[in-house]
Amino acid sequence: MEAIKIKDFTYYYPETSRPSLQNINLTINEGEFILIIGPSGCGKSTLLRAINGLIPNFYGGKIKGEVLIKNKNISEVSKNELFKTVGFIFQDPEKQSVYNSIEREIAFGMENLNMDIRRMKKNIAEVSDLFNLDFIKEKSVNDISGGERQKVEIASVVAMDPDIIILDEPTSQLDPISADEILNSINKLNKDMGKTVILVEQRLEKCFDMADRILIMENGKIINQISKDDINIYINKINFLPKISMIFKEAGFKTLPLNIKEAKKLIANFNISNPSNRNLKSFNDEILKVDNLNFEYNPNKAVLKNINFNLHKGEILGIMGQNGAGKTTLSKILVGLIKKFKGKVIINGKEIQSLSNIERVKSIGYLAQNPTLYFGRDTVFDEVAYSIRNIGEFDREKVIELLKKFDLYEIMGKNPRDLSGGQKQRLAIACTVITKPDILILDEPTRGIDIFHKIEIGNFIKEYASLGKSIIIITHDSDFVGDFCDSTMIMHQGEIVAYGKTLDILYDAIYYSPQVSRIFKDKIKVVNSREGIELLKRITNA
Amino acid sequence: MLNFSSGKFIQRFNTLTNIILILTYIIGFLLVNNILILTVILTSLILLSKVNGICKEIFVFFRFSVFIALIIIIFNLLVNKNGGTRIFIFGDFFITLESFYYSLFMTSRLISIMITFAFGNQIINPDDAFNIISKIFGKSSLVMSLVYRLSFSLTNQISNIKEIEFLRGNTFEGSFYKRIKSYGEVVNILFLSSLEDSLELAEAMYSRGYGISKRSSYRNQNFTFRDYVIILICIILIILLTAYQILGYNSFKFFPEFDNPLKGVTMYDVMILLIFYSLVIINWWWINGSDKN
Repeated sequence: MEAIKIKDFTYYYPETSRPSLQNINLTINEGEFILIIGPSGCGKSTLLRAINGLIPNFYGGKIKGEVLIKNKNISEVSKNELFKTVGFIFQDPEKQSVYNSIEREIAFGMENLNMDIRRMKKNIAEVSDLFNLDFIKEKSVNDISGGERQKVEIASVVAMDPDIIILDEPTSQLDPISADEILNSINKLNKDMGKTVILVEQRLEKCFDMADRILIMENGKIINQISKDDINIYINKINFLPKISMIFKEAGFKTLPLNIKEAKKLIANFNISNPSNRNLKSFNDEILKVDNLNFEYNPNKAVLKNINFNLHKGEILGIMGQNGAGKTTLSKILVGLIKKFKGKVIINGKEIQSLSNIERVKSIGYLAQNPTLYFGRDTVFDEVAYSIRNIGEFDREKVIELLKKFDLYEIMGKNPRDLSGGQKQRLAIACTVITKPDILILDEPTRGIDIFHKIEIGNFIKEYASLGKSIIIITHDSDFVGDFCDSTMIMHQGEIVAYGKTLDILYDAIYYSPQVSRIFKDKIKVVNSREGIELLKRITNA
Repeated sequence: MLNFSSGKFIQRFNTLTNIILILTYIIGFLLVNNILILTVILTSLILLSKVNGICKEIFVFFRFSVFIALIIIIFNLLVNKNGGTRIFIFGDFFITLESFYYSLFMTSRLISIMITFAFGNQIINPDDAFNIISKIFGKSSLVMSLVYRLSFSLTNQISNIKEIEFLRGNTFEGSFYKRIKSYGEVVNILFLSSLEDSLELAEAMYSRGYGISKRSSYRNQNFTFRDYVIILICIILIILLTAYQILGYNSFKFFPEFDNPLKGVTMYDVMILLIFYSLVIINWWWINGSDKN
């Protein structure tokens, strides 16, 4: 039976002349798992919102065509029935939670449907068991991790018992372990409970395996629909692929693997020698020295223990580790936000506490996870100029030059908050590098962005390092570290448990190894995708 | 309402009871024009928080409100030229004793209201408050709850924004004007971000069916005998305060010369104050008498 049918659907957001969705025709059957992929701004999220009536009920705008839910036109379905049938889960769990109490948060949707208390209790008990939430049920949403919080939001929607569940990049704000847990839960909803699932997601590795059908969108249109059985036939035509498939595609393979297992199988019978032109960089000029650093927020509860490392000019260092490992605290000390610590942090030969405001701003730049917290000025120009105005070194030409470099010159009169996601990210980077800091710290720069934007950021990092600047990347993304970092540090419970050349640290890692290392495990020591592609090319050429 | 953490005696009251208690104090602070009466009512509130062991948490807000109070006093002295007793003259510029007294009174009122909100932060469970708001205001509670939720994100984000501003060279140091400007940058970002977050929350709430029909409640709170006692006292106070205003007991002049606060005190004032203090005494008795064991 058809769960959703969309006929000739076109949608314009209010006060726009260009349609965000164009002539969409789509049928989704009950129990199907649909994955929607495509570049940022192609209309994926808009399509999801059209399916649960947020468009046009919440957003307004003009529509043409129709959306049918279980053969009923969505405009004729009562809102109560619609929300009982279609559940929606958003990207950021922090921006969805209404209550502090987890149990009440799960009950929120049911309260809105005016369910009686006995049914609410039963449903909460069931979803708590399903998502393994019993051990946190008594806590506050502020005391649990992002992954757990997202699970609570999913549980809240599932407790309403909808037949169709829509998820808009539900793992984009989560670390890999939490993301895996969430994706497993979503898979369970489809495979074990028979729910119809429609998922927009950037972490494609797992989703390609889970989906029954993949919809590819571009410029507000569905340009292709591929069923699971036909993926290998069409895979070469898809631009948004799991990292592993992208590596094999670039190497010229005709059959592309979707996971490590398939990739290993593909190269199992080939002997590959070590890359001959491997040129590991060496660095001489030290710019940062961290010596015996110890820190605790509360007495006898050490957050950082005996941290020692050096950073050199032109070096890119990746810092990895699970939440609570001490990465954020370390970065706060390095940028001068935490001043009372034991040990020494020396930047350009001077202890960090002795740096003046101007010296500090010129020495260290910090790009936080959430770029919108940077934007308070009226125009893009003023936003970029803000730091140098604060330190009394405003230079209009310098700002213009940077705006041109980051492709923001044409929009320099716009309000920063009116920009697209990609433009905002570029603007935040421009705001950070306007002072040309010697050390640039980036906190989770790849979180929630697609593979092409990741490459853009990686290329910028390489270029900045080539100017003799040093970069520290705090991330969970081992593929990114493998591709762009010269050295890597792994932290665990406030300690450095591994530190050295990225190749040495990541290749031997169990959990932190990049996908390319896993393909060549026991064959060749490689962590960089580009090197992996070159190695695979030898096979295709052979 | 970020600071609520259960465990205090007063938090066992029904949330509606505590909301009415807070409203009663706010009405009192807004109506009373005599600084002496205002201060005595404020003292009863501080004693009430002391009895319930939440005085320390409220003091943090007090320090913050003193800073704002200073700004108001300075601004008022510069702008308000009413009153006949000139205590400072410099060319055409002068400050009057009455305007000084008036600004002192207004800041006391502001501090009292801020302390009442701080007290509310400690005693009102935000989840229960949300439930009550959504029941009272129905569909329009979407707007109410967004404003309500805004306070969460304000407190959560302020330190993050301050950190980013600091790293961009805004040190929050320097002259008074410079510091005000520095904090203005934070407030600007705070409101813009909070507004954006609120819209996202509104969408998430809507998509889970908020506001489509009558809501049920997962946790219903019952009223106990103690709730009825507190509500009764509050209702009496609200009636008395309203009558106090209507019957003219609240007439207090600041200009051209201010009345003597002590002379203006009547038996009616004393009665109101005694009832405010009865809240403290009853709470103390419940905690140290009937509930001690």
